[in-house]
Amino acid sequence: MQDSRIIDIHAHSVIKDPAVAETLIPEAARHGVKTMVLLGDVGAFGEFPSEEEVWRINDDTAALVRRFPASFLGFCHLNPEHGSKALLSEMDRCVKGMGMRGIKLWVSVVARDRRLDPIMERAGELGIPVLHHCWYKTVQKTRCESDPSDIADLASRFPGVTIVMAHLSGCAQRGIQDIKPFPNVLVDTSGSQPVAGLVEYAVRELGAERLLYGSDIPVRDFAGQLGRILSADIAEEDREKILFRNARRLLGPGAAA
Amino acid sequence: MSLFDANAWLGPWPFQRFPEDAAEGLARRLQAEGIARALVSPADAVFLSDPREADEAFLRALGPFPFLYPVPVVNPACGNAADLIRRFAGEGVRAVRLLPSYQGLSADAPCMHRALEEAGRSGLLPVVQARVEDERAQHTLCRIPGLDVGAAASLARAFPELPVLVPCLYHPEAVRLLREAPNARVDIAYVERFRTLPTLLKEAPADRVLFGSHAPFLYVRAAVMKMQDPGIAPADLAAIGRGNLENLLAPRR
Repeated sequence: MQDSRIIDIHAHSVIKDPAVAETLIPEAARHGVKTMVLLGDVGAFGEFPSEEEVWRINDDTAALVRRFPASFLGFCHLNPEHGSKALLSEMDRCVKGMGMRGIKLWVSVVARDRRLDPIMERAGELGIPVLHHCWYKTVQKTRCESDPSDIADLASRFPGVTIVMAHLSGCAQRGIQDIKPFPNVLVDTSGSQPVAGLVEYAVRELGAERLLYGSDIPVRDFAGQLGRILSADIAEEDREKILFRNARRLLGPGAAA
Repeated sequence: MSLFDANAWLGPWPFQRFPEDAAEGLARRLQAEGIARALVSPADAVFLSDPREADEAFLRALGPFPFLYPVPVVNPACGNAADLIRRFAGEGVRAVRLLPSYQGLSADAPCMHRALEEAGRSGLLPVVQARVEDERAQHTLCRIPGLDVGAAASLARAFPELPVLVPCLYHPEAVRLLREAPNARVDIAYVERFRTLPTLLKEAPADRVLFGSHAPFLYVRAAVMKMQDPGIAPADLAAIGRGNLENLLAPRR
């Protein structure tokens, strides 16, 4: 499938090298990717960015979406440490003011932390998804990194908010089972190694409706990340759901033709 | 282009279930992705202190598949390592795989040096595995560190005339090893960056990079698609896709 309908739910820009985002566009087109969701250069200022640094990340995302509206959609990055007033203000600025389509949370606060509550409540009011970094790590786990059991806890408390649990390979079978009871949790396939069999397992256990293609580009490569979807032993109808149909439903108009 | 895969395995593996553990299934899967030949090792031999019996069963299993080149696993710490290497060479094997991290060894342990010395004497390509799985995803009670690249470079440098293939390195590790050990070779299974191969080739010579899928641990198509970047010169593509490995397997004795 190279017909430019694919939606990549998990892409990043690089603040210190603005040219990177532009280089993504022709490479995306070569792989049939029409729309990339920019989640911001979330690591630009470390794990715990200040309010000003969060603004900088989101301004960068918004500028790229304005410049390349046919290729990028933006998500608003937040650090839940900043407190309700600052969080809601930044959500309004990004979503209402700059047209961002969702929220991206990384590793500043664990997903089961109650400091996420105002974000989730406002996301529910706005009808936008929350994409959360997630991984079951044996080693190299950061201080406030979430695992799928944290996402399950969050999902159980906010059943009306769609949560995208990032990194299928990092979450793996145990993570899929953790979130299986919560239909408001989708899983993105981005990042890590393309471990064989996981896409098929996720389709069997969750249904293709709960999977979204993502790459984690430019840390990763479209080739390696799409290869796992294009060659998974699943029905073509399910492949289309993963590559673009589910994301189009989630993100609404303008996500892809 | 038909590919020659420098890094494939035949199951089973304790921490990942493969759709098929038999040679037929692996052959079918590789051929469906355009891989005409592959170096294959027995995954079930990795954790054995003496892998000989697993290797023998594996060699029998691969017998009907001449395009799957057997690469038996040798444990350099086991007393039969040198004998096994000599025996495999006599049976037409072209390479042997060593997994120092899984075998509780430093890459430059004395027994690793002895194994490479014997491989060189026997005309076999030594394959020194960097990792089998992403360390972050390993079983919590089975944490195997990735290969120490500095130690691997030191080992390779001790045998400057002997090519040493090190599969499953990450991008920065691959670049470092190629810089520090002129006789080292790497594969692309774990190397990933935006536009993986053109990016790697900015820092690595094409004649020392090999196509490797790490099948069946990883989706084969992921590696195959890395080869489809229009930014790779046709000559480099041919070298990485098959020529470099053909050269490494040519008789050296």
